[in-house]
Amino acid sequence: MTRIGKYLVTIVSLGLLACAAQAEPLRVAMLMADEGSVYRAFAISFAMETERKNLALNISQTDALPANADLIVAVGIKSATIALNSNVPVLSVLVSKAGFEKLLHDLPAQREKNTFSAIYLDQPSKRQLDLITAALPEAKNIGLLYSVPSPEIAGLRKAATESRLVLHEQKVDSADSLHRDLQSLLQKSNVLLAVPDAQIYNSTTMRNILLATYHSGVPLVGLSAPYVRAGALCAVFSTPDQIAAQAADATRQLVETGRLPMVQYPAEFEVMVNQQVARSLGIQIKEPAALIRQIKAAANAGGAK
Amino acid sequence: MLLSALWLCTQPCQAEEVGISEDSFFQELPVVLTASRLRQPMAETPSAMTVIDRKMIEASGFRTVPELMRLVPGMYVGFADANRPVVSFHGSSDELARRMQVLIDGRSIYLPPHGGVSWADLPLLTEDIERIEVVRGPSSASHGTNSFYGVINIITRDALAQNGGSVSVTRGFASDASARFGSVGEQFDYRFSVGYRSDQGLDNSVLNDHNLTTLANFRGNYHPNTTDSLEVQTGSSNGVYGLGILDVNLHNGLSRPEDPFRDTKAQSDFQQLTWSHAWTGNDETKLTFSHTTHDSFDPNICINSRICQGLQSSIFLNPGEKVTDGFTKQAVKSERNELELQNTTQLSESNRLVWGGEVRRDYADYPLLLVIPHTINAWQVFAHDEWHITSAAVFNVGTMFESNGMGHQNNSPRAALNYHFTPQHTMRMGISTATRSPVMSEAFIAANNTILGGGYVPPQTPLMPEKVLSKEIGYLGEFRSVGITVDARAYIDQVSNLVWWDKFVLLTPPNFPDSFANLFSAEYKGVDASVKYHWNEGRSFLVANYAYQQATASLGNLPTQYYNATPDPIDPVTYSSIGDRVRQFYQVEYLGHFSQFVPKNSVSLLVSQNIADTWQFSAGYYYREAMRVGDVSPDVTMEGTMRRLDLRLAKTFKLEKGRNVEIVAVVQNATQDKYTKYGTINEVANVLFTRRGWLTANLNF
Repeated sequence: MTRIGKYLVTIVSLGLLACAAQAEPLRVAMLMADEGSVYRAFAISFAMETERKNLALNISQTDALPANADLIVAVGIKSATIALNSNVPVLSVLVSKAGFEKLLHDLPAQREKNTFSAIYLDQPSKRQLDLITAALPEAKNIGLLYSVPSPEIAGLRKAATESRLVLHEQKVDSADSLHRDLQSLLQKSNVLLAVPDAQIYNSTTMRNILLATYHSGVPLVGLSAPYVRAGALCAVFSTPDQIAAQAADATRQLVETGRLPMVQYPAEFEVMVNQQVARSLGIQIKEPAALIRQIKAAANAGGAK
Repeated sequence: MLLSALWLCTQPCQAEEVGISEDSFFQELPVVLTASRLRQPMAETPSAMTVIDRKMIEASGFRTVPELMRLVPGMYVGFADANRPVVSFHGSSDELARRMQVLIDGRSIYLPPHGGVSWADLPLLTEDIERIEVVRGPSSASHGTNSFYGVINIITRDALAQNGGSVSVTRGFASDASARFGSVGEQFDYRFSVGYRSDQGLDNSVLNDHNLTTLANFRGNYHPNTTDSLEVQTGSSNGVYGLGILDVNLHNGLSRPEDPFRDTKAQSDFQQLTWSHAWTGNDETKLTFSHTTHDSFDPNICINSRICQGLQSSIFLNPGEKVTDGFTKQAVKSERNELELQNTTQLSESNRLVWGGEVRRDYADYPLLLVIPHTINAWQVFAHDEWHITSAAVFNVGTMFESNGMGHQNNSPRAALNYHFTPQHTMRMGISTATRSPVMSEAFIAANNTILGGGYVPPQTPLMPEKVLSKEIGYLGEFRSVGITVDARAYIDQVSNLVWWDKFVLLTPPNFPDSFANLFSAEYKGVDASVKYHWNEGRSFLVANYAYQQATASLGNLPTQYYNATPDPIDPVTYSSIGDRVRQFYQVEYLGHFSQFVPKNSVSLLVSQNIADTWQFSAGYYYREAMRVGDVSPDVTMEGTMRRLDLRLAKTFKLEKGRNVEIVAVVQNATQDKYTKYGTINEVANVLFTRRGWLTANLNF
């Protein structure tokens, strides 16, 4: 009996193993509710990354909630909102931290947090401040303009204190007061740090904001490559490729452990510098590669503490 | 109210709450700081440059642009009477100094008949100036025609620099008032200024030099989309300027007959329209049209000195002559239309080309000087390339080719290499050339009257354009950690075909009528240096400028009059022949004096200290060695050494909502150094620049 029992256990185990080895590839549904070249770039890059990492996946694309999937990769906040009603693990990418956190409030209570994860677009507060320290070692006063207080600002506040920087916050109440508020903020600041606040920073306001900062000799640190091309001094950001690689790693973790990682900031990042603006403002700024090295060194030093 | 309503629905209307959407990270943005908007850093400019920024303008206490030029190493600032400012470089210091380009927002403001600038009636408030960039050296490739000894480039404040209003009142020696208002919108920004400036001049009992200029100025910028913007500027000024001087030799309280007390008037207007378009990839096109007019009116100008002296005594009058025959009214009109196309092309990451062209029409009606109205149609094309060969080497090369509308075509190339030995230390080596075409008053002068002391005939040989070749070596040190920048250079400027007042162009006694001729070759050598030191996070600063200058001249080809052997009909004892008279005059009055046309040493110092956030104290010290104003009648004595101290104290009272009141006290020439202001007549009449002061109240809301 015991012998038979052992046998059975062995057979079942073997069977299970065989099952696992020959299991259907993980069905990944790319939920793309939004059109846009960035989203498409992510999708292509994700497919390539998973292939490079030898993950056997069955990737499909959809713009609505998929019927059968083992993982939904929700691209953009609109997709993430749709994925809220699924019952399979969801990894949201290309979403802002504020947008995703807002979504979490609507998450059904029974749902475990780590089955609804994300990789933010936002850079961690410390990384943004480390960029400022690396690019502008003499800048101690950082100006921040916002229309609605956000957790992001609280994070920056904490990181600034730790980096011995002074954060000057200015709330803007209306479009009419934007310019005046900016002017008074620029008087106190050595650098203006852009936050993801579309009321303040959009293609309409950008002209006046950049001209005002330039006239005051206060550089703007932007959020993305377009900021830098428009006239910001520099920006730290993560490309769709970098986020796709991180998403591939998260998928592997799901395959291997059955669980998605917790919500993450982007691991890899780029730094872009507008040398023409730097020269014109009389700023001697390092090359992007050197800035990235310095930011990573600062992150390691911070982690070791 | 309307704008407030729009506030919640500006860009991503679909995202109801801020930060929900990821648009902030992906949105495309217009290229705002295009290459043409960016200032070239000092360490990369092809010529020596002085920048006078807003902080310096305020700290100096100066009310006018000409006075601000004291902060430029080697620049001469004087006043032909207190109300006719003179700004010049390299000893070209007559009242209508005409060898510099002067631009306001790219619009050339030297006047067609004389090529000089009527500084007094500039339709611009000093408060509306953002900064002034002064190029000390020829710069035709970048700044166009007339950029001969240098360029004064006045950049006014962007419409968006004035959001809200401000009112300013000055009382004391000066009596000024201004009101400015501006608004910044999503598609349209504008600023509007009105004001007047006036002062009593030097000494109204001797010199009638009171002045009052009222002006209005508007700048609006419409930017309907992310790539195009349309800028409109317009301004107008009206001024009343006293003229006339007391005859101090006669002690009878009467004015000099040929220069009676009277009020002249001047009016200046401009309109400027600029369309700029940003192409993808940082390229930009800019099309500018400007229209400028300047009219002046003298109600009672002497055209015959002898008859005018009838004011003193009838013995000067021939039978049947009336004193009024010696006087007339003079109206001078001038107009300029200019159309310029400028393209900035980013050839590669390290190479940028600015190229374009301009057509210009100048018109002047100046009957007493030019007899008939003249129009000149000129055009030019230019290209200037800035190439970062390596991260350490910047090569600037360019040229301007022009047709001056008077039958000459000129090419004015320039090249300079800036090498950063380290980010702190930069050397600059440059060679540049420029051409100055004769202005109307030189080329077309023909006046059978004595408004300038004699009869005038047109040039006997057609005037050639003046040429300058400038060689320069400079050093720029930027030590940011200690807040110090150093800028020093040595230069040699060689000028050929220099157009000068020829007193003996025709040897027809007794008048020996005057005209202009390409008389000299000249050489200017010098060393100058500027040091800036900033502390207190840039709120306090010190600027020190020093210039050492030397000028020499030689007669190009000896004029044929030189060899005229006819006995001198007037003074055969002193002069062995007419040729001898001519020789002596050229040798003594021109060549002998030429070295005195520049001050050998000059210094300016400006220090500004912020105290407790609301107080600001500044002091300016200006030193200039004795010199002689060139191009005026030779019997004028030298201008004495100037040692002048100006003080300024400002207190700001902060009110709620960012409003503030500022009270400013300014004292000029605080130590009462009684230097003369300009070498023409002031010293003869003993009119001195004395201590003066005023109080200003500014309200910003």
